[in-house]
Amino acid sequence: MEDQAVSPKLSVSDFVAITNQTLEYAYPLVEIEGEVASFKVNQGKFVFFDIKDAGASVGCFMMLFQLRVPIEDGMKVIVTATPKLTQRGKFSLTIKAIRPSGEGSIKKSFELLRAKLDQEGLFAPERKRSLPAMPRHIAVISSPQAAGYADFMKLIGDRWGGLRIDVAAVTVQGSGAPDQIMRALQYFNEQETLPEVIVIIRGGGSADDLSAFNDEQLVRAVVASRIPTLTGIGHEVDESLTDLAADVRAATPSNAAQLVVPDRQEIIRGTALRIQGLLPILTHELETVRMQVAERLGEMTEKTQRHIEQYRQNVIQTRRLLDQLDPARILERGYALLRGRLQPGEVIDIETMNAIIKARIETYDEK
Amino acid sequence: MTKNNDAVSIQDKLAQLDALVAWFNSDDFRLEEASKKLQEAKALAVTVEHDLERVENEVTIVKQSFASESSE
Repeated sequence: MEDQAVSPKLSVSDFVAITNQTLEYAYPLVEIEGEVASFKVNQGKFVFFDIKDAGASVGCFMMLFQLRVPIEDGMKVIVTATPKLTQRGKFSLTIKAIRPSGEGSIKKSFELLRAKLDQEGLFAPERKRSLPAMPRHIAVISSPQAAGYADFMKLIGDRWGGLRIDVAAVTVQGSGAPDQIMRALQYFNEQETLPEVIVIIRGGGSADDLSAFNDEQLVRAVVASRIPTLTGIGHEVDESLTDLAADVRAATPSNAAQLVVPDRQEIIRGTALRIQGLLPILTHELETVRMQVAERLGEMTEKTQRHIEQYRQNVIQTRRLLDQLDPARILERGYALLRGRLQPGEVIDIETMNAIIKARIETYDEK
Repeated sequence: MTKNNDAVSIQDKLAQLDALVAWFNSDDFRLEEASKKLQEAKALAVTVEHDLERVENEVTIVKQSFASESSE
């Protein structure tokens, strides 16, 4: 009788249901790390594989749309799953999320997805848009608690002003990060007044920390954004697929700040230089005019001097002529000037160079 | 905090400055007007510098939560 009380008689279906309730209570969500084996996709939407280690193996199931990164046999992964007993009595894990684990698997998964998306042209240079030179309204997707965000915002404030910055606070690490970033992208793309650029910011971290930015759906969302995108994720050496999909990739969050807004000090210096550059133009023009005036004055002076010289020569010539006509000059040459009536018996005056002589005319004959 | 309109004004002023500088290199250049234009450019540069030094950014954290699709 006691045995009957402890072990109630259950139907098979009830047993499976109770077992699942127990599992759900004990392990609502588990994270398991292991190696993928027997990976296959059925009917283009159901994914089956085993996760195993040296001592055990468990079957896994998930929908294909939940698979955000390429997975293949031999790859080390971390799955987030709920354990479940199927109606056929088979124990399996229903996968909620899966991500590569360990440097080798992360790299392998990255390369596989990169090749796939590259083939689709998602990273093609010709689809890249340029960023506005002097934006007035930008959107930032980041974690406000992250160091990278602080660096970015500080540098933005140092460099530029008058900017409207809308910040979407999201987690930038872990399995929830891609979806949150995608929702933020969608949010900004649906605004009535669109920001001129969306900046995705995250500071440095391990390959696993940054793996959220290698999520296929996130990469596609970045490509689909109608607002130009700029990424400043990790350090220069950390190149994520989101970086490749963005219109512009900055090496770091600080570099993103340098790329998205100009430096006010540079503008001030540039403006001063441009003003300084105008002075030589003005000076040159003034010098040109001065030279033209000087040239004309020179011409006028030369012409005037030529005229004066000509007048001077005329005067000299006239004076020479007058000199030649002067009676005193004639007397100097030995001639004499007669004054009086030229008739025999008349007394006349004879003027020579040195004397005036009175003389009487004895005869007068016409030649 | 300074209003966003100042940023618009800075850009407009920079555009005006561009136009003035371009005038000095254009066929429209007239020596009679050059001194006046130069003074205008200098005054604009001073204003731009003043505006740039004092304008701050306006940062708004979006209220919407992006943690899940159902979140407000």
